[in-house]
Amino acid sequence: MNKKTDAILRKLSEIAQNPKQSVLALMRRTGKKAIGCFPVYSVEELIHAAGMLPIGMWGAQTDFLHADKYLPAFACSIMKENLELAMRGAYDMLSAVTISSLCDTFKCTMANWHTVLGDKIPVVPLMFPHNRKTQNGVDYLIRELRSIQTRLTEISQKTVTDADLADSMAIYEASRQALREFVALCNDYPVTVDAKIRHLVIKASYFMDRGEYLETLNELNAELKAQPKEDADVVKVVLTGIIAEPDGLLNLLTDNRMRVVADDLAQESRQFRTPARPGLRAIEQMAYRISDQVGCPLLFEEQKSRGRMLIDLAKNNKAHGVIVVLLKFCDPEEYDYPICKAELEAAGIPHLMIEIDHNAKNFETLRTRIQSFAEILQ
Amino acid sequence: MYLGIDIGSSSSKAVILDARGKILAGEVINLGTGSKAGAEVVERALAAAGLRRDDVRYTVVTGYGRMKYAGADKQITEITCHGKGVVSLYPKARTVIDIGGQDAKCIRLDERGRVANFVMNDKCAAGTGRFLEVMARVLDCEIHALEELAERAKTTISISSTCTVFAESEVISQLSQGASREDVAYGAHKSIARRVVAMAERIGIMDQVVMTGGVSLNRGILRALREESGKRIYVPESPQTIGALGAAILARQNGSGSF
Repeated sequence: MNKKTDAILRKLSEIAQNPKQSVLALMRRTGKKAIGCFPVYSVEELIHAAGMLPIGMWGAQTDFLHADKYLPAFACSIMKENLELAMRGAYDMLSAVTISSLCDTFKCTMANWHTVLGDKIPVVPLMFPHNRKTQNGVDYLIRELRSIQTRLTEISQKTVTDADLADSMAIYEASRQALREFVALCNDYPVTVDAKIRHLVIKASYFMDRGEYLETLNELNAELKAQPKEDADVVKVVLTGIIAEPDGLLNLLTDNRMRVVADDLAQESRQFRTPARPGLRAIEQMAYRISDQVGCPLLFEEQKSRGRMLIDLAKNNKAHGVIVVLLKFCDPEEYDYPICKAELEAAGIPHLMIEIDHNAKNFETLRTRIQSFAEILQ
Repeated sequence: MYLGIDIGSSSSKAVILDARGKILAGEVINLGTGSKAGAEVVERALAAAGLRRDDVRYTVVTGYGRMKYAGADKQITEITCHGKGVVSLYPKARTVIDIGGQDAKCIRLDERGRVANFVMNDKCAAGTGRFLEVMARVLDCEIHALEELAERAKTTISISSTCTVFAESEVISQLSQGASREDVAYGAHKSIARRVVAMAERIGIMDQVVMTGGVSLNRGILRALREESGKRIYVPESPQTIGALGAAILARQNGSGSF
């Protein structure tokens, strides 16, 4: 690895592994307000166009002292972590948070947040249409986005014009294209980019100004392309699920010579795999990106194309197998799994289902599962 | 000589093979990872085979404690090792059920005897040896006495709670309502069998079914598993050492360059 590549990877990893410090430094440097964006889909382009910083809120490991009062033991760990961290003051720098209605736990968390923290950090609700592929659904979503635009304008005290939003959309679309290029490049550089580095490079996007992130990622992609392709004896896997964290999980992949050659993770490729439709206004592009997304169990899809998509991802990237990273208590993902399992088995693609708690600190039984899967695939 | 070590959560096992694959020794100590049992069981196996440490050409360690054992050439998971051990004794085996102290595993083998798929319990201690330990405590008997109690059962008490802790409360409640210890003991065996069979069905239960691990010494579990799965269950002569046997076979293949 050359020095420049190493420096870029270090910089992005540092940012991704220290979100709070990264965000506070960014706020100090830019003088901008920050808006927290709950998973899975948010309105980053609108926040950016309003002159504020959209910050990803994908949880962080913590002990639960307060969140258990509001969410049951069987709630998803990311939601509990976000609520706990907020109640401890970790998100006091945020001017608001966007929370969507994508699952039951999101809806409960939205109400809980409003009750417990609403006076300090107001909630901007984001209600996605269930029938997102119909024209009525898209029209509704455009109106919903306009309504959110008004809320964000009140918070930022900056009027957002369609030209501002088009500029922001252009930056986000360019960064999504750069991310698609990066994940494709990872397959050619399995030594330089292991599972954890790949994840951290993508994760850094949530805690940086998107224009700066785009510039850094373009530099990284150019540096990678300038290096000779790397040949390594690795086990190639596709990851699917909400999130492939904590880092201990990714370290287990590396310990067993596994490399991620493609993913269908909500925190990763689901954010950038669907390009905006050309020739539309930016607000319409935002709505159609949700309408056009396929294979995400949080967005209703009658055809259930996820299994077929995983098969294609595995075949196109010459993966040895698929790892289903099932976030414990995530109903939408759990409902999807039997369908994907049957389709993967019918296609003869080996897969491993592992259930993870985002707050887990011990990985020994997970080690046995992942190592066994690697032993089967070798 | 080739050494296989299996350090589990509640016991440690070692098997030594000679260059032709003949078993020279197989030892078990009922202490698992976190103790000195891993080193001790190796010493016992060496002594039983009349060998010194230097006589061992290659060592494979497996089991929950495999990452902490420093004296092996290679560490391999218990899934692969149990599969290997079972196939050496039962070439037609397609399903392996291994119930250990803290987990339960079901392994499906392909027609060539290789591990094709596996599933492990991932929620809690339901369906493991720990469940039996808890039940033995509630019924105020030694764990090995549970099967004798179960054999005298007149009817089956259904234990509906999946959670071991809730199941303990449920059993105490049933005993207080007059259920017999014998019926409750058999209900505990049926409860484990139901959990394990339900888990095994996720990968398919195919003949021959071989059970390994310490819990397979319990006749009550075998009876319950047979009733729940409708399959004949084969149990090796020394079911506790099958993981170590598989590790020793892999050590021999690895040490002789055929792995």
